[in-house]
Amino acid sequence: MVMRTMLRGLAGTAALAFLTTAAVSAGTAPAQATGSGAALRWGTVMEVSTLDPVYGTNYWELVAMYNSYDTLLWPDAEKGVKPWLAESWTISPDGREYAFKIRAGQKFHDGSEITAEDVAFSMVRMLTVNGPSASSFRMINASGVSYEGDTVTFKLDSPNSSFLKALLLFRIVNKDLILANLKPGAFGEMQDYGNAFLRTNDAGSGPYELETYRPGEILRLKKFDGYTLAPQKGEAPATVEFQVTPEIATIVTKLRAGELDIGDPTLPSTVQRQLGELQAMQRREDTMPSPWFVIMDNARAPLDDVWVRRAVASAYDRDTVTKHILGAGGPLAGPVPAEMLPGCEGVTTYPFDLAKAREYLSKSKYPAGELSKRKLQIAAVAGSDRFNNVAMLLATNLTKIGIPTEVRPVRWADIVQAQTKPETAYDFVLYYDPAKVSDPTLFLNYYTKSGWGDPYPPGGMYYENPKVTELVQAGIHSTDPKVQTDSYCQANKLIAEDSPAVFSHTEVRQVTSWDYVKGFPPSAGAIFYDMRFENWAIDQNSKDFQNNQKR
Amino acid sequence: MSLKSLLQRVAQMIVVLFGVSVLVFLLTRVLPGDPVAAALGDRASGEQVAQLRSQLGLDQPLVMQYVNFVTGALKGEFGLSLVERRDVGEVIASRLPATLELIFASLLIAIVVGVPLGVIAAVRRDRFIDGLSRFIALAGVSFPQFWIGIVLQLVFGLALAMLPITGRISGPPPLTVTGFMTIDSLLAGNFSAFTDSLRHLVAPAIVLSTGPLATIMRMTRANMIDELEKPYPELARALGVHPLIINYKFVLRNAFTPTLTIIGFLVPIMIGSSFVVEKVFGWPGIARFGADAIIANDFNGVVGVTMVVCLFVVVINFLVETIYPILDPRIRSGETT
Repeated sequence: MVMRTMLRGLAGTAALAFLTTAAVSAGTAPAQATGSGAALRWGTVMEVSTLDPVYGTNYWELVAMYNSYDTLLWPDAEKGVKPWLAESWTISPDGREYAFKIRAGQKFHDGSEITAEDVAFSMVRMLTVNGPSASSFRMINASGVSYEGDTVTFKLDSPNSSFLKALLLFRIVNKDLILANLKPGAFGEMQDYGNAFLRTNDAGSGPYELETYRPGEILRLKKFDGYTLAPQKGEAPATVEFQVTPEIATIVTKLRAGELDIGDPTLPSTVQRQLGELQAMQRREDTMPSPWFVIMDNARAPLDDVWVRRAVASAYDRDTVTKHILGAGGPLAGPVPAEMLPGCEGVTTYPFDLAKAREYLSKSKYPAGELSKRKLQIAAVAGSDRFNNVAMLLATNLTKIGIPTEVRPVRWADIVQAQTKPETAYDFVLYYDPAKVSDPTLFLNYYTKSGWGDPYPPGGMYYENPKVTELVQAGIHSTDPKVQTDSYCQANKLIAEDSPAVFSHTEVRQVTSWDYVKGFPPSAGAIFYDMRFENWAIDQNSKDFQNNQKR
Repeated sequence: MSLKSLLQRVAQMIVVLFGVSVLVFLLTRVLPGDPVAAALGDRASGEQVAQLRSQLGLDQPLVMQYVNFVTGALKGEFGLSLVERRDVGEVIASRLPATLELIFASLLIAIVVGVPLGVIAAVRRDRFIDGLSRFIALAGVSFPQFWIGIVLQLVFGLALAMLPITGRISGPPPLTVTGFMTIDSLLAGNFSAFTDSLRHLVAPAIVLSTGPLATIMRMTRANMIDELEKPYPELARALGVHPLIINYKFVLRNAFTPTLTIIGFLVPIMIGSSFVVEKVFGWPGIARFGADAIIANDFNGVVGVTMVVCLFVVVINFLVETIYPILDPRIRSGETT
């Protein structure tokens, strides 16, 4: 009797709980685009920790910045760059002074006009604050920035052919808005230079402006109605939402449920294949000019011997890496991807051939007994299955040819620190370089002394060839495109022959989405420019789209 | 509790927190790896690394670094987080409510379901309902929480479309007062935001409650059985007292005291477990930030999160010890049990 009463109570509680769940389930609040148009919802593994264009480093921070801020120039397949916020520019005969005329009538998101003063302020702020984005502007310092009327002038320390392309990474911020939001800080009268404000706020002029930002959870951008640099297309998403979803399985579930329209590119290729086979879903593959390397410490035995390095390159099984481990990969010969050096033919490659590898090894100054004395170490970023599997494959093949090798899963911060000194650098480190602009010097600098010891794996190569250094410098200081191309191509060939790293392949970006998402227009080699959402389209007539928007 | 013993406990809390701060601070400083260079992204120059190192105070002697850390921590400032690029105190302030809301909701589920289940299992010992509740308890501690989470997402999110799969709220959040999305929605009188935030909370809270629910249920059952074997329930029954009153007013009150202690211990375990739940459900809490901080060697983040969790645990234990005598008169009168 009593038991029955208690059981009834418990059953009643359970029923009440279920009914409550059902009741609250009825009140759905789907993420909808503001105004007319579609909401594009993207599941992202990484968090967006900052919106400040000087500090953003990870993929999604950069995507957000590319859309909410604008640049002076736009990538161009033929000329490298073309006018954008700057309507024209002149370069002084000595190649040191660049004067940009700012296009009139362009607006920031708060409605104020973009001036040369804003551009100068943005450059000085970037150089003074010295965050990650300043790394591409070592050729200029703050005293070299000036403006007059509608023209801003940058005076370089020395001629540098990379400067124009580097400007694709320079974003213009709203000076007045920043000055109105300064907080106490270390920059004198500029206090914190707007760092605190810009971390969570938008001071840009890009095609999308910030609508919602909840760190660790969501970032939502909405179309900027006052944008005039590109046509406002009705089919472009009205809002773009990055939903932070750190668990891969959860992204897959959300994608299948229609709570997301597009998934993270870092989803494993096997998962992407399965999703792509589902009805109404598509998987796209884009070869990116972003190389994968196996960095070697050229300063330590036995990798200071070119024949050992060539043997290592010949023991690297590219096909298995790209087809079976990563699921895709484009060709790569030498440190510079072919897209950046068109016409650079005859670059030495070392195809996978263990017999050839043994032959190279027999020519080295190290006898077999010497080689087997020390186990070489391959550092693979801890927690990354992709890197770990590639490293295991290489270790297996190197052991087969008589170079005992072991794989060490290492935290990223530890790798970065180890690479800054030749005696602590790992023998091998797997590295993927997301090339943001189509500029060969991005890669070639690491093969000259100026790149030695830089943080990140390529700084740990310690490779030097005086001829390569001479060629790279000649290219950087020349204003003649032909001289630049020839110099970089020759340097590329010499480096490829010396094999200071294993040049594995170029990245193939794999993304799975619903069929109604039409995105990724050509980016002219500057990889994030294909993530400008004003050039995307959503098929709003699609039934799936209409159903999913209700979720 | 006398004023003297209260002060003693507060002093103990301070000593514990000081010890933890020294230990965690030293551990994070001796770890290898250069988080500063890693945080600056590719192509950073040595000058940039040195500048950020100086900004973080890492160019100062270790003792000075610790003094700076303690003086900052007392003001709620733990230094710059390399993961979030803002002060760790700010990160914790913005993320802690999410974790607390999740933990309190889970605890509520664990107690509301676990205690009655334990009582029923004890009263109906060795019957079907007892076996069933024991199976539930075993399942609760055996199945991995991430798996339960994914199953709930597949069933209630994908197949039935009853609950959202991730996040805390779909629409615009209410004005932040407590940081608890459900409570703030009610305070703002926004019922649709309340139901929406509740829908988001249901699945992660159920997942996080599975382990504690099982523990509470098992503890309640065991203690109830002990109490039911004593003479006083028999006497009460002989006097004609209603069994429900006997079980819930007399027996459960005595049996619940050890369970309460366990609940005090469960809270820190739940903070640990909440990392998995926060990851699976995209819940923007402190546990996920703490895990990210460890991976990125974000020493300020690690120290800050550890200190806050430690403070939270110490305070919970303090509260349990304070409530204990109120529930158990034997302790109030100094009688040993």
